[in-house]
This record gives sequence, C-alpha cells and structure tokens, in this order.
Amino acid sequence: MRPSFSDGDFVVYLNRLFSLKPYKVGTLLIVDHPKYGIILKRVVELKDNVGYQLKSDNANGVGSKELGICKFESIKGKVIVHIRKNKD
Amino acid sequence: MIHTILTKLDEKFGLPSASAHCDIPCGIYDPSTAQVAALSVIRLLDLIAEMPDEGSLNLGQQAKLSRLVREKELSASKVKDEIRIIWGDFLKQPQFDEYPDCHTLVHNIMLAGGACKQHIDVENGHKLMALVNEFAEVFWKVKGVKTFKATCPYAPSVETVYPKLG
Repeated sequence: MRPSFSDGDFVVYLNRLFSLKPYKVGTLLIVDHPKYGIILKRVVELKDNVGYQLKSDNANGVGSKELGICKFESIKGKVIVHIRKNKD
Repeated sequence: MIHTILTKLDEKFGLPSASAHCDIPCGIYDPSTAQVAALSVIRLLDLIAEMPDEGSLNLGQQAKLSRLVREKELSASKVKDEIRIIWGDFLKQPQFDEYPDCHTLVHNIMLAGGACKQHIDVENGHKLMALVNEFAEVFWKVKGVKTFKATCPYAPSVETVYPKLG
C-alpha cells in the first residue's frame, strides 16, 4: 500500500459490527483474507450482497483479481485513524 | 508523540499487525529459481566427482576445484533462500492447513541444502532436487496451476516439475 502506508505505521479501526451502512467506495478496510492473512485494502465495489471487491493503493500490490470477493465475515473493520511512523 | 507511545505499547503488549506493503512486487513468487539452483548443485557435484581423486592436484586443478566448491556453496544457499522466501512470505495459514506437511518439507529442504554444502556426494543433490520438486508441486497447486514432469533440457538432465501454463 506504499506510499499510503509504510512499515511501522499504526492504524485504528472501527469493528464492522458498528457499521450500520455498507462501506463506500474508497473506504480503507482491515481484512482477514483466507490467502493473504490480515491485510489493508481499499473498497472498489460492493458485490451481490456477498462481500466487497478490494484493491491495493500500490500498483505492484496484490490485485483485485487475486484478492477475489472478500466476504463480509472476513472484514474486520474500517480504518478510522492512521498514525504514520516518525521520520528519522 | 502518539506514534512513540504506540510503539512502546507494541513493544510491551505486542499489538496485532496487518500487511500493507510488499517485500517484492506482490504475486511474483516462483519456485523455478530454487529448482534451477538445485539443478546447479547437482551439476557442480557431478563436475567435482569428475576431478581426479588420487594423487595430488596440480595448481590448475586446485583452482578449478576451489571454484566448483564455491559455486556449489552459493547454489545450495540460493535454494534455501528462495524456498524460505516463498514459505515465509507467500504461504499463509490456510495453505498450511491444506498442506500440513509443508513445514516438514521446507525443513527437509533446509537440511538437504546443508548436506549439499557440507559434502560432495552427488546423491545429496538428487535428494535436494526431489524435495524442491515436491515443494514446486505444492506451490503450483496453491496457485491453481497444474504441473507436469519433464527432463530438463540441459545437464544434469534430471526430472523437473514445470507449471502447465496457457
């Protein structure tokens, strides 16, 4: 997700159980992906009331096709705070 | 300051982590580099075996043997590094659940690679290649790609697992 996120950054997320409405396009989510583990990705589209199509900010990141449709239950929540690592 | 406080909390309590970046361009993992390195190990062991084993080596032969041993060391290390990267960076828990022998396989590759570095028995090279081929089959299964076996078209001309693409 460079340059949006770097090693050592912190994020705070709001658990999806507290989200009453579907996530909007562009929302940054924390996902427990069955193949890639705990990852940060951005919403592209809500799909068929099953889950979300997601994408990386980085062009070299894992693509939407490889991510597949991330089901609702794999979404941990929405990132609400991003604390960047202090520049040395 | 907030980052500093969170860093201290992370050090003390171990906050959960999420991946948001790539070590290398994501998705570009391929066991073929490990397979080529393992084939190199076998080839180098074959060349070492061809060196005279009786009497003393002349200066030129000593230089050649020195180079063969060095390259064997580097190739065996490359096998271990490439397999370790795929195991550590690409494979995740769902894959380990599906292939529960994967950790044992990787450990055996590490041991076989070490044996190739420590000894000059050609059989060690073939054992290493067999294990790396097995790992390649697991990798391509994870990627949903079928594989086939063929004799590689160059020395040491041993059976190699290839992905069936296209």
